[in-house]
Amino acid sequence: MSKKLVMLSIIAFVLFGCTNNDPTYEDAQNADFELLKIKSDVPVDQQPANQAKEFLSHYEEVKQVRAVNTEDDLVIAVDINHHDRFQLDHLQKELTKDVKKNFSGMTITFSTDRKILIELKRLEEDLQKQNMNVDEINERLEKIKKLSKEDT
Amino acid sequence: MSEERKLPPEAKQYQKLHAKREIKRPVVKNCIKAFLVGGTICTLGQAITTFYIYFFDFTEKTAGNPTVATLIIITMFLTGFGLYDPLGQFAGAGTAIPVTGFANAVISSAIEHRTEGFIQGVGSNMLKLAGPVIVYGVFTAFLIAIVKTVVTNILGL
Repeated sequence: MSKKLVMLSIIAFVLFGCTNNDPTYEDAQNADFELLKIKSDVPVDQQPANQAKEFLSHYEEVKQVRAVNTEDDLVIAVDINHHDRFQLDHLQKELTKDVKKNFSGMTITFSTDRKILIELKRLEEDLQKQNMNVDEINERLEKIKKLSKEDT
Repeated sequence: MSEERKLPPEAKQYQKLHAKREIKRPVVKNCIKAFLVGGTICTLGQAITTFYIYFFDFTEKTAGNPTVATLIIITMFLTGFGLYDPLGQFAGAGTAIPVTGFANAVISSAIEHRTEGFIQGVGSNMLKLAGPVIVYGVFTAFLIAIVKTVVTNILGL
């Protein structure tokens, strides 16, 4: 009898993590949130990327966000809080929907992958430091987009 | 239960004695050992994955394949040099459940049957232990795929 009870409670506990909570948008930005706004003197105006970062930083589940854009492409990568990663698929879907609603004029590539996050961080830092021209940025971003579409 | 009743009294007595004298398996201790060693192997795997993500063009999705390959190569050398067996004896399921256990099962039987030649020996015996893993792995994947299809497409959950 007690064995059954233990099993039931274990199953209940495990399934409890499977409920789909929608991402919560807060008015205030997350505390201790590292937000790198790219300067305006880069060859391609990074205004949309900065706006997307600002927007995503309001979500409670988002820990870090990196974004770079070209003329009509916007590539975003987010890091989700560890305990929210149980619902990674659902969160990714919802966040992509929200971002696409806000930036309807651009082609959005949204990723929660660590690799994309790292590559975007490197690109952001290079943008800040060096004088990259438009072609170089396009090339780097194209490579990142290709990576994000890769499947096993 | 019915089988036990059919046994002659001597056999029943023997079974009683056997149960009394039998050394109890240290289940909890084995579990802890398996957890620690298996966890160490998985931590190593995670480290390899992170390495591939940072230094090569692999994403979280695609880094799994080279990680498995690396772990299998490491196990191959450990098995060949005879280092994996004592580890397996110590940790039990901790070394059998990760992919390293599968690699060990393939490679050790390949080494064992090497003297019987490449076709009759290595070729036919290599997957003797690992074959069931593949068969039931594919079969279970098939069953779960059916359940998933039913749940997502028909019930629409």
